[in-house]
Amino acid sequence: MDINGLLADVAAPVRRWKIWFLMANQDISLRYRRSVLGPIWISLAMASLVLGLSILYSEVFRVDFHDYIVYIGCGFLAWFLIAGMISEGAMAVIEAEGQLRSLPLPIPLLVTRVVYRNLIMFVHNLVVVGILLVIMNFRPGWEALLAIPALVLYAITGLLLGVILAPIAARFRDVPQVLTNILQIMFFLTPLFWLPSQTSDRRFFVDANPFYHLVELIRGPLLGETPALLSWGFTLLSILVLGLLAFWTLAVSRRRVFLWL
Amino acid sequence: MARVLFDNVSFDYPIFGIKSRSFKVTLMRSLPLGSRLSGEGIVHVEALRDVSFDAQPGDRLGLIGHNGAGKSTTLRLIAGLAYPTKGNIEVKGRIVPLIEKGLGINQELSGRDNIELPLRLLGATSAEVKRAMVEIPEFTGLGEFIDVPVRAYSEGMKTRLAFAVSTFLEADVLVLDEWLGAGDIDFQEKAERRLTTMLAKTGVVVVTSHSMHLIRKVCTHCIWFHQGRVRMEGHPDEVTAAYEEHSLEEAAAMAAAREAAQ
Repeated sequence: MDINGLLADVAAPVRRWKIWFLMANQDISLRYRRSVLGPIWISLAMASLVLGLSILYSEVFRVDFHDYIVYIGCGFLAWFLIAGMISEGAMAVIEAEGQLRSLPLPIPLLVTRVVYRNLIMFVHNLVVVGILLVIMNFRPGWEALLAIPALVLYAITGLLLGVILAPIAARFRDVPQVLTNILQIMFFLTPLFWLPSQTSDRRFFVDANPFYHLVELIRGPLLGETPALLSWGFTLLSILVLGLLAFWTLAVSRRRVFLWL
Repeated sequence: MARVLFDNVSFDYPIFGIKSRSFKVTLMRSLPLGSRLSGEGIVHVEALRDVSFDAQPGDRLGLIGHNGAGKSTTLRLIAGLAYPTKGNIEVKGRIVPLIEKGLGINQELSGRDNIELPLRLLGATSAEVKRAMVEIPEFTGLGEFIDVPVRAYSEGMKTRLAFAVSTFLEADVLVLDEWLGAGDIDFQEKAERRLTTMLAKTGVVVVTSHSMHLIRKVCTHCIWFHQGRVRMEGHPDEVTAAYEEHSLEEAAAMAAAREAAQ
């Protein structure tokens, strides 16, 4: 195995940061160029989904509207960041196909572009949904600052998942579609618009769900709660496992990606 | 120090059928009874077999041969896009691969915005990018168009921009798939001059071309690829002459076969 090449690939996002930074900024500026509000449309769509769901489901579940909209809003902010990093992360190699035919670009570099792009999108969502929630009388406390280290864990998770998924998706072209299906299912299985406390006998469904723990790390602090130790632990453990998997995937795929384009 | 060394290099690559590109089909196949699923598998193609050469500073290596003979594969191996199945490759110095046209040029962005990314992808330093931001708009003579999206450019303007970006960096090893086009006539002379200065500073040039005239004019050494192997190598005059003769013979043989079939 070519250890030096592998390490150079891992270090590429740091050593050649200008490339992903430039690519991601261009991606975003292109979205702005295509329509007046650009990515803000997506944030507005999300805000209206949050508002609509809250009006309806606070009635269905018979919970307080104001508590509920804040719960859904913060949960969706976290979820759409995770889902975006996964579905776009899987496309990281495929979307750079044109460039990869001409130049060798390390996979981690391409994935960093996607993760950074999604963090910018997250900030958009945060502002738009944040305004909605503040109108709805949302007052985050100091605990909200815990969302910052959580975001770092998100970025790491996103990078690792991307490094695992992007080459697989280049080799097997139906993987992005399979991922979309999985994310759709997880959207309903993860407590996003329903509360974990609404499950009593099947609590396992919630606790064994890595998406739940990830979401909790951001939603908890925003709602003024300190996330459970279990959620931090679960996420750190996932990162460890994903890290090993990512290293292995990179070692196997870095010399072959070219053949899969 | 520039160098490109190929030591007994062989390269096989897989061609995937549609079904072998499907995760779901591959998964089903790995299940018991799944192998009964029909469908095309993976075919391996031998693209290069036992190719050796050594290009030193000052060498201009021309690669000729029919399509699919292994010229482009050789370029991609030099560029580090693909890795040899057998044998060893050593490339020393800064490689600038110009294999696909319009590398990283985004039609929606302005000419100016299309300078930095391609250069960074090719490995430019910040100092080089800074210089390019001044020199390229000037050299291309695009004027106000430099701030207009490339999609609005004429073909000539696009070529000029691509040419200017491609020839900006000084390389130790320059890898070229076909010669760089310069576009419209009034630009050609300027482009020619720039290309000459650039090549003078380049250590090793490896170029593929279908133009024997160009190979004779530019190269110091020529390799003729035939079905993934080196069929002949040596002085460009001799190799291109032999290749042209062979191509004529082939054409004549094909014409004869067609006549016989009628």
